[in-house]
Amino acid sequence: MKKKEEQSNLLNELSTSELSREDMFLIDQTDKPFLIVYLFIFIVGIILTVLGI
Amino acid sequence: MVITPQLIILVIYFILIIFLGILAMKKVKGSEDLLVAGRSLGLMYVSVSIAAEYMGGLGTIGTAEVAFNQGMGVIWYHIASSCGLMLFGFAFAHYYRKYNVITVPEYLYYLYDVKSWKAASILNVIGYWFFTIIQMTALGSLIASVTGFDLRWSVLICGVAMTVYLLAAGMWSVAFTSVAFMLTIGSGIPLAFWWVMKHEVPLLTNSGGVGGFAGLANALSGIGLNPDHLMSPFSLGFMVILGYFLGGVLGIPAAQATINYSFGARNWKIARLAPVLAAILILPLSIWTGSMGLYARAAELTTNPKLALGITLMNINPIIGGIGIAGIFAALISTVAGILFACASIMAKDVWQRWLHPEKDDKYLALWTRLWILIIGISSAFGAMTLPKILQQAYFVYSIRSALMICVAFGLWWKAAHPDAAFWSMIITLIGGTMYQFNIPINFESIFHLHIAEWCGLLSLIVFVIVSLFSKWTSQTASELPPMILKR
Repeated sequence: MKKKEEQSNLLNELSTSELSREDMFLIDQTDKPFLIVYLFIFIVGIILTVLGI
Repeated sequence: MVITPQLIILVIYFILIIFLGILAMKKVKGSEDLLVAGRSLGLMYVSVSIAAEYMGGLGTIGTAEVAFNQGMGVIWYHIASSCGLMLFGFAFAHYYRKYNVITVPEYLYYLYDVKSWKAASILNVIGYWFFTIIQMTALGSLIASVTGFDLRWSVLICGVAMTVYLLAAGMWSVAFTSVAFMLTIGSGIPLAFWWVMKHEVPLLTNSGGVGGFAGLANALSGIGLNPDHLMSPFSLGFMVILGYFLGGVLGIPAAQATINYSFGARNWKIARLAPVLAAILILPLSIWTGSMGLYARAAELTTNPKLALGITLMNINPIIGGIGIAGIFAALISTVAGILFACASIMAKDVWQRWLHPEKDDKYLALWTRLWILIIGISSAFGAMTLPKILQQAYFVYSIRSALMICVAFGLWWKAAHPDAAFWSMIITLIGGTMYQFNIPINFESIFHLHIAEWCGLLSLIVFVIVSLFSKWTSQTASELPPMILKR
C-alpha cells in the first residue's frame, strides 16, 4: 500500500507545462548584448582561423 | 616556483570565476533554483553552459594529443560532437523540457518504470563520480604544469575551489561562470592558434620562413615526417571517424552533465535551440587545438603527446600564451563543474529524495543537494590525489550513457519498447562493458576492434530490441507504467 502511494507521488511530480506567451520568446534583454558579443567573438575566431591557415 | 605572466593570468582568472560562482548565490531560494536554475535560463546561458561543459580535457588537450600523434583528422571529433548536440536539440530537448524533468533517469521513469529509473540513477551516479575524479586529475595536471606546484596539492586546490563555487548556487553558478568560460575559450584559443601559425611557424628551422599550414608542412617534412598524411582531414581513417560520430550521437542525447542546462531553460523553444547554438560554438575547436598539437611535434617541443598543447602555449608570447592557457583552463574547469554537478543532482534528487526519502520537502532537497555536492566534490579531490592509475579504467562506466540514449530514443519512438528491455539493456551493458574493459574471460577488443563506447552502444541496442520483442505485456507491467504512456 505504502509502495503504491509512493509511486503515485512520483507520478504526480511529472507533468507537462502549459504553453504560455513566454514560450514564444527566444531572446530577452539580458541575452541580447551577450549574444552579440559571442557572435562578434565567433566571427573574429573564424577570421583568425582563415588568417592562420 | 617561477612567477610567469601565464601564471599571473591564470591566478587572476581562477579568483574571478570563483567570485562569479559565489555571486550567483543571491539567485537561489529553493531546490529548483539549485538544480535547474529555477527553469529560468535564457538562450545565452543555456547555449554557453552546454558548449563550455562539452569542451573539456578531451576536447582540448586530448585533440592536440591525437593531432600530435596522428594528424589533423582529429577535426572530426568536434564535427561529430556538433552533430550529437544538434540531434539532441532537434529531436530530444523539447521532450525533456516539456515534462519538467530534472535528471535523465527521471525521464526514464516517465518512459518506463520504477526499476529502470533506479538502475539508471545508480549507473549515472557511479559513472559520473568516477569521471569527476578523472577530470579533476586532468585539471590538477594542467595547474601543476603551469605553476610548478605538487600535482597532489594542485588537484586538491582545484577540487575544493570547484566544490565551493558549486555549493554557492548550483546550476546558477555554472551558468554564470560559463559566460566567462566561453569568452575565454572563444577568444584565447583562436588567438593563440593565429599567433602560433603566423609568428611561430615561420621561425621553425625547416619552415622556409613561411607561416600557416604551408610552413607547418615544410617543417614536418624537414624532420622526416609525411605532411600529406598528417595534415589530411582523413589521417585517422574511416573507423576512427565513425567511432567519433557514434560517440557523439549515442553519447550526448542522454548525458546528464551536458544536457541538464536545457532542463533549466526558460521554455522548450530555448531548450531546443540552445544545443544547436552550442554545436556551432564548439565546431572549430579541434582545428585550433589540433594545429597547435601538430606544431609541438614539428617544433620538437616534447616527446609526450599529452603535453603538446600546454608546452606550445608556454613557449609562445607570454601574454598570448597566458590567455590561451586560461582558455584551456576554462574548458577543463567547466567540465569538472558540470560533471560534479550532474552527479550531485542525480544523487540528491533521484537516489536521496525520490527513492530513499520521498516524503521529504523542498527544503530538505536543497540542503541535501548542497551536502552531496560537498561529499562528491571533496571525496573526488581526495580520490584524484590518492587512488591508483587503475581508476582510469573505470572511465568505461561512463560509456553506459549510450545505453541510456538507446532507452530514451526507443522509449520515445518505438511502441513496442518494453520496461524490462530498458532495465536489462542497462544491466547487461554494464556487465558486458566490465568484461570488455577488463578482458574477462577473453580479450574482446582483439576480436571485435571496437571502442568501449561502440561496444556498449551495440550491446544495449541488441539487448533492448531482443527483450522488447520477447517480453509480454501483462497487467502488472501496465500497472507500473505512468498513465501517459498507456495512451501510446
